[in-house]
Amino acid sequence: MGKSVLLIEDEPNIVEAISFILSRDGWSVMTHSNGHDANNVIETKSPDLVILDVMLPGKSGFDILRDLRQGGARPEVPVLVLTARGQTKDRELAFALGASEFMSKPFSNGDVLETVRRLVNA
Amino acid sequence: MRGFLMSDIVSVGVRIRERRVGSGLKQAELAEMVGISASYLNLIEHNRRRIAGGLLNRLAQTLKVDASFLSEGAQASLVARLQECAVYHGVPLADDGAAADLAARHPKWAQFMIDLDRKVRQLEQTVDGLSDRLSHDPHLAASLHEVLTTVTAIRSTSSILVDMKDIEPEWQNRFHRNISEDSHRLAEEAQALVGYLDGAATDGAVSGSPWDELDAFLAEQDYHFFGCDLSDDGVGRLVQSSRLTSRSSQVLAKRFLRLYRSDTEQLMDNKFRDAINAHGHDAIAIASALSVPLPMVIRRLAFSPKEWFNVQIGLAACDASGSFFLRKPVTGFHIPRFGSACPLWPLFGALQSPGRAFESVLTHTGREGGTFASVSVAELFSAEIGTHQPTVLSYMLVSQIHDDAALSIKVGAACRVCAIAGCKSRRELSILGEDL
Repeated sequence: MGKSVLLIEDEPNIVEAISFILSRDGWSVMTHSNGHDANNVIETKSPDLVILDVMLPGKSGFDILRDLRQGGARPEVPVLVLTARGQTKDRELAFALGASEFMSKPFSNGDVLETVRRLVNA
Repeated sequence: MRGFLMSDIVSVGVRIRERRVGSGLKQAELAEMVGISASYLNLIEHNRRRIAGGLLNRLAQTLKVDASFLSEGAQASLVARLQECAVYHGVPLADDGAAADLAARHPKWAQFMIDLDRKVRQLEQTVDGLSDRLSHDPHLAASLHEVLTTVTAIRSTSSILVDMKDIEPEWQNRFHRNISEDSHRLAEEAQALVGYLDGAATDGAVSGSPWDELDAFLAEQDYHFFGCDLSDDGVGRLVQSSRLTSRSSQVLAKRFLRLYRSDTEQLMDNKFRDAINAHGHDAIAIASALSVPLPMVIRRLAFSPKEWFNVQIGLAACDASGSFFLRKPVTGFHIPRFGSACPLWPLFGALQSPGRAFESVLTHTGREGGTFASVSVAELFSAEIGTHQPTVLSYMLVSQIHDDAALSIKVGAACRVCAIAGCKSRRELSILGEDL
């Protein structure tokens, strides 16, 4: 079994596409579609990397990231923030909260794959 | 301001009379509007009285000309406006004589530059408004997010089909179906977005949110309904004959008109005008003299015919979340639509002490800017003891003044377009370069 990625994203067709390309590349992909209990899921699933959307129902990706870095059970896990909110201030906020990498939508599959490999093998 | 020589006085009086006649105003009407007697205005127009700076400014404002036009004539006005353009755009002038020289030798070019400057300022205001909208309009932000998300799904899925080999048929079918669904969704989202941005183009309706429609409705009515039939039927007709298209905006307009009717019933026009004659637009003095609630006086002042006053009067009103539900802009005091205003505005402080009046002098540091007298007060509704949060609404009345701004509070429109250095209340980066 390859290393694991937890994809937290509420758009089902994006989940399907990213899951497919990561699975083909040998990753074990787990998915979650809301912000309510995302921090608990990160803790219980214990992935090697989290891909995190920002605009999630229940709790924003930024809040999830903040809670993860400030007292979460896996504060060191790499987090790739993947969002349609691509303004400079969103990027700056993501990194200030502890994002490992930031990509704005629409993204290329190749860039996502390359970034996931780099973050996990870093 | 310098005193006028006799020759100046002759010109000032003549220019005031010419402008008054050109504006279709009687001597008594203009006198009342600027707060002097008709006989005194008659003396001024016949060059038998000097006029002070404050009165000159009020006359100029009422007659819609620069004070320098009245005091010194058209060419001097041109020079003053050229110099103002240069200062506004940060152009260092070698000497004041250059503007005077240009105005004297090439008055049409000078006027052309002034017109260009006016156009630039209008465009800057539009950019500020659009920037505010792009940053804070929740409907627009949500629509753009939906479009980007759907585009992402289509791009990612189509790339899989094009770039990856040996995809099982069931997966291929699944991805084709996803693309088909997403492309339909994208078409609908794009259509809705275009409709939102461009609603006015098709049926003359006002584009934007219900609040934008209400703003446009009030602006079209010049922010008052003096003389209108405000019975329930009359309100219905007013709304039906307007360009308010969405049900939401019509409900907002009816709610506003009912409040307006209630205010005018409790503070009748004749009584209110007497109070204005006695106290000007001093809201606290009027509320005190008439023993009526200050928020009501503030609303009456903001939504009365502008001819009743010798200054522009603006209003911002927000709820406990800081979201504006009423806006009456005034030149130099920009009020953003989507709840991102400067936190230093006293109406936000007033939310914490309902019933207490806050008087402040504010220097607005925006592009147009200026110094403004302000009075703010919040009122409490449904304050019965219980577990429910009472409703608090806060009002701020602003009017431009020409006093020394040294003791005023510096404020902006919104952090994003504000350049006040070292502001402790800044909550986001300014596009003008101020750091957090």
